[in-house]
Amino acid sequence: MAKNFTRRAVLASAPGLYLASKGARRAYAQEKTVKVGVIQPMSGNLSPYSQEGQPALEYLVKKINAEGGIKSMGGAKIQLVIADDASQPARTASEARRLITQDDVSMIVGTLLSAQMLAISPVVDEYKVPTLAMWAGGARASYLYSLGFPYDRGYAKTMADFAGALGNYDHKINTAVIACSNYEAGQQVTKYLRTMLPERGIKVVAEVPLDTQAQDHTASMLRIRSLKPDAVIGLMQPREGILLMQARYGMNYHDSIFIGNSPYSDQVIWRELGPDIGKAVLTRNLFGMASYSEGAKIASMQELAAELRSKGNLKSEVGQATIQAAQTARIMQQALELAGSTEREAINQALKKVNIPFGDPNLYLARAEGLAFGDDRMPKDSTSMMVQWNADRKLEVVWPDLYAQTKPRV
Amino acid sequence: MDDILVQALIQGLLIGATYGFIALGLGIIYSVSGVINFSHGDFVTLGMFLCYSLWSALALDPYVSILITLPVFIVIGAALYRYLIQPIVGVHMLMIIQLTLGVSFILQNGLLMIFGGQPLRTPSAFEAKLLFVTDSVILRLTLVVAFVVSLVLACVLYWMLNRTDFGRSVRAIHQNPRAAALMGINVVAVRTITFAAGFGILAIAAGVLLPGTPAHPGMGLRYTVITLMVIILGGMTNFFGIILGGFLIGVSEAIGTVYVSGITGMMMPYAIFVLVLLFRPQGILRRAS
Amino acid sequence: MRSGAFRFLGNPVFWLVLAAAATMPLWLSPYYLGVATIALFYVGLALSWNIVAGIAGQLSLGHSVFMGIGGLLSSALLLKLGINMWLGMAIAAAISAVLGAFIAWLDFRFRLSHLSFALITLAFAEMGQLAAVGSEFLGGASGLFLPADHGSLLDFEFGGQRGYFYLLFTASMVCLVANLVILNTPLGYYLRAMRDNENAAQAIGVALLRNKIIAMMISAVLTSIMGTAYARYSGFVDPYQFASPNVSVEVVLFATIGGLGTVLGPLVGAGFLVVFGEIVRGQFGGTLPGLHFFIDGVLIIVVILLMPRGVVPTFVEWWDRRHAAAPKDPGMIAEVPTKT
Repeated sequence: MAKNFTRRAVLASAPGLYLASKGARRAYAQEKTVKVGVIQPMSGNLSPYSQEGQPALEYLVKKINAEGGIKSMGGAKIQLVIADDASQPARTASEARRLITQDDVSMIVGTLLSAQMLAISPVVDEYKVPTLAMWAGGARASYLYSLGFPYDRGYAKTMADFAGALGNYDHKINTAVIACSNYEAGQQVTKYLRTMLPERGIKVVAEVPLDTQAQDHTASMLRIRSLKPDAVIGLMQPREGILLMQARYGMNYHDSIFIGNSPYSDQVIWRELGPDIGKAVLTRNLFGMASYSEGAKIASMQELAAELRSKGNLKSEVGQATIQAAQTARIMQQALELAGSTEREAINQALKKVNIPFGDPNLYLARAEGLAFGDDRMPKDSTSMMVQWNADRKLEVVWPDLYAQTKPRV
Repeated sequence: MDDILVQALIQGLLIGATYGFIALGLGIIYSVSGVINFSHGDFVTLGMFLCYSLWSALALDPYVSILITLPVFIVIGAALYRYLIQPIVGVHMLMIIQLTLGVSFILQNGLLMIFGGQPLRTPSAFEAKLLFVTDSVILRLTLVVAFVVSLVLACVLYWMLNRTDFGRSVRAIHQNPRAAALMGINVVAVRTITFAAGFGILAIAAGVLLPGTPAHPGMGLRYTVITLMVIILGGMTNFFGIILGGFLIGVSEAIGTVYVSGITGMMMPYAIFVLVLLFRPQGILRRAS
Repeated sequence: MRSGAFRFLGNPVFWLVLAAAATMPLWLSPYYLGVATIALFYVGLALSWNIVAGIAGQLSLGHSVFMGIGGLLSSALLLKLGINMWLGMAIAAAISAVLGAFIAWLDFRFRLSHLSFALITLAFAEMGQLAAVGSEFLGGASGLFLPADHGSLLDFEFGGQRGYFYLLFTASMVCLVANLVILNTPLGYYLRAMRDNENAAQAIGVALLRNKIIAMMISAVLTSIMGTAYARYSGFVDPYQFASPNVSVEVVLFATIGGLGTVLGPLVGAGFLVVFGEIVRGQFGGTLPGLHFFIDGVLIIVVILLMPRGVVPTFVEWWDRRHAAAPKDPGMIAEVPTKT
């Protein structure tokens, strides 16, 4: 069977080779599509990211194609080739190999949290395929770029700064427990929080790593309750956030402030906990990092959200992953425009030059300095907003002052 | 600190009763046919998803859905025995286990293909109600309901095994299938009914465990492993041993991770399991069923 | 060793297949070469497992521990202590051997039934994963990220896909040869005697403890080596993959469907099912996640109902019945009992 495939492949590529020999210009004229591989966790622990983000990605690609495709490539349309990695890093690597070697994609995008990013890095560097991760906190491969928050200046610094700032609202944080999901990103963020929190006058009384395989975090919550810290700070995956809040509800524990990342600020947690539990635990003492909030005063973000709600064929509410995916689509578009060809190396160089300044209608995230990749292939400006929930299941931005709608409810 | 112990203890006992109940299902199946069903936990998942479907189609509360899933599971259990297990009676035990593993694959991935990988919550009557025993010992009402149901039905099972003719046949077959057949017991029929009953137990367990628990296709393996541990602790077929085993596993799960931090705590159930298998293979209660 | 064992060396089909396999990098597309590489990995695992389970009858579900040691320990030694990975592989293999011997000793000392042994090894596998995830040295929950591969053979680097293919091809061939050798030496006979009836074997003088330990040690070493090879291939060693008990389940499935106890069985089982699974995932993974596992499940049930001894033994029986003449030469096949 494999033999037939290669024979067919050789026959099929013959006309292509012939045309390629006719000169570069002509070849571009034949290039009507740009193939982009998309790796999403359609099942498993990380499926919320794909459920929210994929429709947005597809909608924006459709929109870009409808508006003329990639103009510098003669109107080439973006063709997405989708693969499921089931939230397992091993699959991420093998799907990447398949997309690269069999589907011959020019670049890869995907949810790609830190473990997936690590797994895909050797593949990406071996085949030199530019890759854009939406959420990884680091970028270990020289061909990999991430739109996520870096562990130190993105996640840890934001959470630590916010915890420190709560003193300005008459709620000084003196003690904290670091509770992160027990995986690469969690361990990295824990490391940075260990030093950043004391620098802001907050004593770390304990570290409670949350097992990503556990079905219940009552034990962790019991330990937290016994310590009664002023704040519980940490980075988590959606599952741990939901389970921790469930445990918190079960113990009726409201003596600490919970500060975390997107699982705390995404509609998924309301859906999973249900309206009663959600009302009890999510609307008090809970703050999450957010790129998106319904009330945030960023015109481009709100317009996009409105457009997605009405025409985007969304399977769930607009959330953090939705906006992240949409922004990825725009970065992809700009990179392809700058590259002007489907050559992987050209796209790689183009990604280094991507720049979406503040005020640009294609900038959906809250970045005062615009969006561009630094030398570490992470966004140079990694600021984030902190949000809280009100009883109507709507987010309100509470920090930093530039974007705040209201004061934190403590 | 004491409150934490009390909370963990009570919580462990509550969930332990349900573990024991599920394990009883596996226990009677094993006692009568020697089959260890490695897809036991996945049937619990199946039950949960059936309840979810009934909710999304007919807005039925999981507790009500049990009335529908119970007969369905009874039929499934009987059919499973008739068409999958019985034909290969006499084949190497490993093959039968493999077969059940195959069923497990089918269930897990079938559910995955139909429902997707996202955990799904099924709303229920009092899923958010809490019982305040004291200020710091708080119990979820759904857990208490599961506990009561499990204990009551375990008693029913005990009565059936020890006071009815059918129960006598089950015990006879467990002791010596050939002799039982010679005494006129229809071994095949009894086995079929036992399978059916064992699976019926799963339907009920799924229904009472579901409220408050988001269900996802991969959660079955954990229940299978827990059930296996409970059975082994209980001596495979010792009724009270299994119930006790259920409590033990439930409590050690709840307490272990609170007091013994980190990895050692998580390893404790397995370590205990290995020690029991090595040094007390007949189970924690000496008496054989 | 029995001279008849190597009769197949004269068989032209064998050499054709071997040549085709060895030259795959030349005629397979990169994608299928990757699939073949992964298939070879599982073939190696299945064959190593076959030594304890098929030939010696010890149903170990804990082989993921050896694979984890092979992958994680050798990588950790390289990254944290700068130890050359060839040496690291040897160290990991040695540790796996000791652990294997310990498990075999447990089996002997406590006279464990097949089921108990299986469950205990499963418990070890779960504990092994917890230990790996909890150990800072072994990378913790994050796993280990191996340095980029520059092709320096001395540093256990193989320079890309072709190199990896040959690495895994060689490793799995070693497992294959091990199986062949064992089956045709007295050790193989002792092991099969133990498998079929332990008490009887002991009664006729088979040294139970020694043979159990030897079989487990060989299997552990081979599994560990496969683990190290795969670690280098994937570049990122994730404890949730390398030390996961799920791998054991998959390997058991492949070997059993193929035919436990035979040499071709695990090879055919793993080879076919892995390739098939990858292709199904490639075609349908985007739309129907989990389809290939579903099909695997159906296949297992069908095979067990229709061919309870496995595909290869059933096929061989059928073949032999067609060409009844000469008595069977157990060079490649070992009988599996049909009753418990």
